[in-house]
Amino acid sequence: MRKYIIPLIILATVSAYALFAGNNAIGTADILSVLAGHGTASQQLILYQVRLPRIIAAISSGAALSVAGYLLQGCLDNRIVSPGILGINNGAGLFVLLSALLFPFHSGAKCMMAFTGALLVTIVVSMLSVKTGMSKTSVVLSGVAISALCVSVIDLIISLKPETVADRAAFQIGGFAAVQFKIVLFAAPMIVVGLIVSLITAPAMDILSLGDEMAYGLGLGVKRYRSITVLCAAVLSGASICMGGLLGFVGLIIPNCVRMLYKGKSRQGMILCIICGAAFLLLCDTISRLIVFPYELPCGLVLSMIGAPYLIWILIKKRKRLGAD
Amino acid sequence: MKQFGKRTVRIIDAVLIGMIVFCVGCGAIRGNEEEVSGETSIANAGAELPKIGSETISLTEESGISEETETTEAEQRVIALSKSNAELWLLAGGTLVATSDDAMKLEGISEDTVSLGDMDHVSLEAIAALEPDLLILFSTDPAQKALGEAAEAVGLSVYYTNIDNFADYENVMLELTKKTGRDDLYKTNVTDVAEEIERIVRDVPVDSEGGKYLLLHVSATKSKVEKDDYFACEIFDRLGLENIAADDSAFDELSIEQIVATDPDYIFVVPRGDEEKALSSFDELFTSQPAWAGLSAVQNGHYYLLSKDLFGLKPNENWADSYQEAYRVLYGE
Repeated sequence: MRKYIIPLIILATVSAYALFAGNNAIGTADILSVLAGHGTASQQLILYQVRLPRIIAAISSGAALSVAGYLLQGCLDNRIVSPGILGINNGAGLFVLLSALLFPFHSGAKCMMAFTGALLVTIVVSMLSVKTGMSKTSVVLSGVAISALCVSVIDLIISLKPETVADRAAFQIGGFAAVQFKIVLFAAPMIVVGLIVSLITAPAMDILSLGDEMAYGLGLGVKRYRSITVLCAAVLSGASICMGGLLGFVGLIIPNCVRMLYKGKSRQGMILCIICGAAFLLLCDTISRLIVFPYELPCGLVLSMIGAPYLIWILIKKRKRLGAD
Repeated sequence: MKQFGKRTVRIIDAVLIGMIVFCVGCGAIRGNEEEVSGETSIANAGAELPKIGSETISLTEESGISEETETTEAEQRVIALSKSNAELWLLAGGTLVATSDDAMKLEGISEDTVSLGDMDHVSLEAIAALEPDLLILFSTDPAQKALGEAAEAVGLSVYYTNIDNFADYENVMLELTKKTGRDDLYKTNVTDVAEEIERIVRDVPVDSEGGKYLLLHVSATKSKVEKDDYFACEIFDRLGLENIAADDSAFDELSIEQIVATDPDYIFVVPRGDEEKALSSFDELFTSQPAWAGLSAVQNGHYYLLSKDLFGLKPNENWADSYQEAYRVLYGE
């Protein structure tokens, strides 16, 4: 339990900062006043319809993407795997582009299509993988192939309809500036279900980490578990994409950091991913909201600018430690 | 070589040497001319055409053009890439040998005008083949800027335009009508329009309370806040309103928290694509999202979809119509 304390304190601090820090129209005292049932109409609107949905979306997306990355890296035994590698992000991106063509100006359609794209690509990748033996390599290669196919269709659509590029670009960077409660209410329950299933099946990942043959020997249905894991990752990623676009980087960096800092059972690793991913994405979103206020930077941009140097620093630190040992 | 006699070979050699000497000589003369004048050279394949004027013109940033260029000859073979630039040149009384696809339906485009395709993907070879005296491009469009630099490198004369407000339009039109020698068209398309604008501004009720506004440029699902460097904002500012995004930062995604906190009295939306689809998006945005639905502008019904022709594209000679339309929206007929 002690290993969770520091991450939980960080998450609580970041959440409090995200909730109270804002523009001069609604400061800390105003937030407290609104929470106490007072405050002006616009202050209530800002807190309940803008800031809170955004905080919940960032926390749930961070948790979902981190666990999705952790699941995929664990079950495919590959530390550079993330939802993006399996084509999930490009599948969602393709469907968002299709929604911009078929149902322009309907934000709800965009979310549904992103989720559908993520799920559909996962199903196709899984079917392909089954056809090719469901090995670690076949899953990754199937994902790469489908991802490439999605990219080529995206490029074709952009060539024919270049006016859709702006939407795609905004979606690809990712962020929570326009997130609404109704979208959070649609996506968050799916994330909760995905996280619960992941935590329940986590012990199987510990068995799988011994190798496919050993796992078979211990009675684990490797193919079935791998399918469940990939599906869980798709649900988590798809729900997250609905809210914040393609924030793929968090699914790579948080699981790697957690694995470097904690070496233990998968379930504990997943719980750490949930806390750290939530805190990290919320911190990035808060920075993107405040750094150039009253304007905003896309959260995906801040995510990469903070995440990439941090990952490099962790890698160098680990390398030095190994060298010293 | 065996089938030619020695004499034939000598004749061919002499002709070749003569041609080389001639070409070198021409190049030297051309180089000297450039050195003396210090001007960007102009392809003069159309020199046999009658000249419209010969005044020296200096084009500077203050006149709405980003780079200083000089030209001493009137241009007869002009290429304008983009509908807006083509329209400006036609309004100044010029004719076009070629333009981009989007301008091909403009009134004044002749059957002989060549279409060069998309304004951002024009081949320099295709341009050079038309031997233009002048190429009119946007200075703010990266693709056109790159094309302009490449064109200048091969000796073509380029004129950059950048119109953010009516003063820029006045300056550009002044330069263009000087090139064409059509002062009468400057009066019709600029002076008269400016007078009409002043008349509309004078009509703003003295007791008008003004108010704050937000101007959004919307495409499929992205909306961008426009600031005072956008020409339509100048119109609303002059009609007594105040832009809530009136700063000079480079960012264009205004925080929704800031919009709610500022609570604009008016919201204007300019569609980028299909106006009908934009209208449905517009209604969906303001009715389904609580943060927007709570704004005074939405609750009082003060949100308007503006005409793309008058507020999305530079209105040029219709600038007064844009003012008139804005006036009608704010103060009625």
